[in-house]
Amino acid sequence: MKVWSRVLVTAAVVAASWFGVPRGFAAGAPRIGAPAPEFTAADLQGHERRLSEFKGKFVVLEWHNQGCPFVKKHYNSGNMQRLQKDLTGQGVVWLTVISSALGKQGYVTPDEETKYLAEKQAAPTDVLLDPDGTLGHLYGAKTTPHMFVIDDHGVLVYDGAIDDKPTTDLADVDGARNYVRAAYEETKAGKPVSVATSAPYGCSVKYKE
Amino acid sequence: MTMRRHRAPIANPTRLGRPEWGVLGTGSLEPGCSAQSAHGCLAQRVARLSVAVLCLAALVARAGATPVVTPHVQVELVTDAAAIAAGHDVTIGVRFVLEDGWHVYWRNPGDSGTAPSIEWILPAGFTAGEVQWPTPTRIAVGPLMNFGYSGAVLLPATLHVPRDLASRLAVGIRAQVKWLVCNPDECIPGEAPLSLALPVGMAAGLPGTTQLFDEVRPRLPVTAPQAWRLSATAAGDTLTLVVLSVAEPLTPPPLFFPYSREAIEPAAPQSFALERNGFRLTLQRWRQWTTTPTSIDGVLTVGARSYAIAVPIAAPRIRVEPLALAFVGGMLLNFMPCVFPVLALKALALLGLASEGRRRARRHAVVYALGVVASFWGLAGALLAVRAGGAQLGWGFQLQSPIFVAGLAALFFWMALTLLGVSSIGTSIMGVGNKLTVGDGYRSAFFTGILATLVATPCTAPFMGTALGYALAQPPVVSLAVFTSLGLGLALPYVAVTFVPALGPRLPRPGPWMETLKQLLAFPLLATVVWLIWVASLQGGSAAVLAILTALLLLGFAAWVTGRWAGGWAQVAATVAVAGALLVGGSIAPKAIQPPGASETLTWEPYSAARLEEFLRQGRPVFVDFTAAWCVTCQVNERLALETAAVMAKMREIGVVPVRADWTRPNPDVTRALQQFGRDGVPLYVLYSGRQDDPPRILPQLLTSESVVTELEQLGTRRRT
Repeated sequence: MKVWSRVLVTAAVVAASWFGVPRGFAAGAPRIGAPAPEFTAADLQGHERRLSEFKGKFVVLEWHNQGCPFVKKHYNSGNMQRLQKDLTGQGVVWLTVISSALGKQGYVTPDEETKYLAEKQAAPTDVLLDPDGTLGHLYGAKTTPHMFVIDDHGVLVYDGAIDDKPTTDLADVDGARNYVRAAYEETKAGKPVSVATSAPYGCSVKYKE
Repeated sequence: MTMRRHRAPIANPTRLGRPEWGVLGTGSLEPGCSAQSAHGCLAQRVARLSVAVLCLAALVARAGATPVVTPHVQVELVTDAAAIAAGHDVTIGVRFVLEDGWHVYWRNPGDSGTAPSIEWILPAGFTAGEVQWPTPTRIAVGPLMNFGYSGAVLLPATLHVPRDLASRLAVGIRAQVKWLVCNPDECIPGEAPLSLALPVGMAAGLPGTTQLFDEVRPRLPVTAPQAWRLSATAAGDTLTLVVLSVAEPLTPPPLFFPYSREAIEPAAPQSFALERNGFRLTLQRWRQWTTTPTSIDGVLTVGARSYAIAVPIAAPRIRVEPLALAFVGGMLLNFMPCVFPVLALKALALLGLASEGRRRARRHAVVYALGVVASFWGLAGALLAVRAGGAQLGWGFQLQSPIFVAGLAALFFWMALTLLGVSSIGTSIMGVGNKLTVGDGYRSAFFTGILATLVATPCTAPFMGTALGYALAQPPVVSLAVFTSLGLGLALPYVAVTFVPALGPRLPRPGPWMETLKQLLAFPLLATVVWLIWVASLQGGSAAVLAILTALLLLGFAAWVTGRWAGGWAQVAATVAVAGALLVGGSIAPKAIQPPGASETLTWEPYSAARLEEFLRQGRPVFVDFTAAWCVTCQVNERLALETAAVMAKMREIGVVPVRADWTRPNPDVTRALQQFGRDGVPLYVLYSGRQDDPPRILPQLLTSESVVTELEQLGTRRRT
């Protein structure tokens, strides 16, 4: 009976492939070297931003939750702001993404976020609000921070942690190897990225249940 | 006396800031008891003894050190010995006691978080061994998974005591501990200097803390048994771990915890399958992987114990038998009525070529073989894509959708009609095939290959089932090899005939036997249609059955029309009929479908996690039947084992609550429960004894009335004792 059922399910699957039913299932999270998935998300002014509008520029995606101690490490030390200013100064588009669901840690209204940005002197190109977690799930973002670097051809070149010191200690910022900066500089120089993926570290992204 | 800082090797060794020590400890010890003060004591030989006595009194009273209380977690340094002696190692440890709902992390924290770090600060001559991490539990945080500890955990390490303790009366052990404590909503980093004073020479045990160490010992991974045969393969996004010669019990299902964060996707279900004398664990690789790992290192739980394993990853091993079977199966495909006429014509034409054309014919044959293999690869690719989707959603998911069931019934019905010769669609495909394959260019040879595969599928799908089923359960490389074998098998006779023309006359002649075989094959397909309609009846009741049967009627009419007449009006009529069939069949999709009219003989409680919890809290034994109407094994088990008089009587006798977790339609509660047991499909049978300390018992997937009664009897005995 088991063999028979297996045969049937198999036949069902073969049939499914003829129907083309499952097309798209296999399209999971992005992979290094492949085009970064297109997205649409609202910024603080309620404008729809798309990845494709930044074609020809490097794009950095930073998953953010202002209540997370790992994020605080990089904002209270000024590390994140420094990187934002350095890279945006060279024409890089920096998009901070907030995927915290309503009622969860890190969820902010546009006003709260504007205040936070001013207070921290943060300098992202724009902030995308993603309380449904759509963008987060599309990119497979796991932690805050979780960083992605997309090159000027729209290809994903980095996916992972901000640096190699997975702690909440401010003191660990100095001397850490910043993977985002390295990925940008290496790609810009036409070199392969030496560390293209790393396990992101931080708090879990507070997704909608 | 000099203090030496000794950093224990831990999972997260990157520490930059050295902690600055203010007041020693956390108020747990009198100033005179610290090692530093003991140094001051050396000059005052008289005072020393009395200080030591005070120290001991303080120690015994506290049985260790006072915990540091921080938000959501208490942390303390403990030891299993009341005193130390020169040259004798003792065990020390850092203990976390957590508030409900909060956790700290294992050495690999999983998707998020970070492991605690311990920096030992020890007197000269003392060293600390590696921190031993008790086996963690999986802690789900939304769609992510953490590996860690809730409740309380002790992280032990061996303290190596030097041979020479001089004339010390006590030593101070200190540790700077950092941790991250989280609940699903927030994380709080913590840090504390911990200290512990140990008198020298007294050898009385500390009952309170010794017990803590005794409790943690069974949770520490041990070396895997010598008898085990471990192997691992990596293919695509899958890591497969096979453990054979396992004598240990396999309930609850084994789980793997990697040391590296970059090995597997922590949240992915770990699918467990029994092998002849062991098991296979299929793990989903880390999403961001770029290079193939050389080994799987981590902790494997089997039964109640856990084992540290390091298994080198071998290239996927391909067994020869399935490939040979696939090859022979592929050869047989040549003689299927859909394929044979086309190929026979082609082969005979080639045989007629003059000798100067022979070489050209051979090249044609090779191109034809390439065409066949390429199309099998295409099929394999589609299948692997489906499998990737299926693995995400759990097998059988397609059959949860009544519209899918209806579509499948229609497809199989149409295929059966084609085989019976009612419809002419099959022959018109062959017609197209003939047109494309006519000619002597390489292109036509290649297309002959593709068409041979294409026309073969309708009349062989049920037969290829075994090979496909095998390929589905294997890593992609093996699946691809199986499909390649099928393709080579299909291509071989034709190629052989061109290379060895003498074989030509030996081929079986096309004849009526082919038609008989073809028509016979229609009946397994029709049987499948019957079964699918029954599934639909459970999902959608009589309305769905009526819709599907009407759709089949219209399809039958369309098939008959196109088979009977070739004119344009016949095609119009057939198109109208097919459109009607789609409309009628599609009508069952959006409707809310009535639950099956159950006429059970046992009163099955519908499953919900809360309800199960409730029964277990009341101490009642529970039998959970994870089932689905489309799962044939489940239905058979229910009819032949669960709903027999013997089993029902036994359940009533022992007072077992029968609970049914129905997965016929998607139910997140049931999916979660299945995942907890490491399954991604039904059937699954779980027996809870109703006693807190008893782990749930998982019954085999194939049940008999006797086996269930035996299980129930054993449970009854356990409950009485």
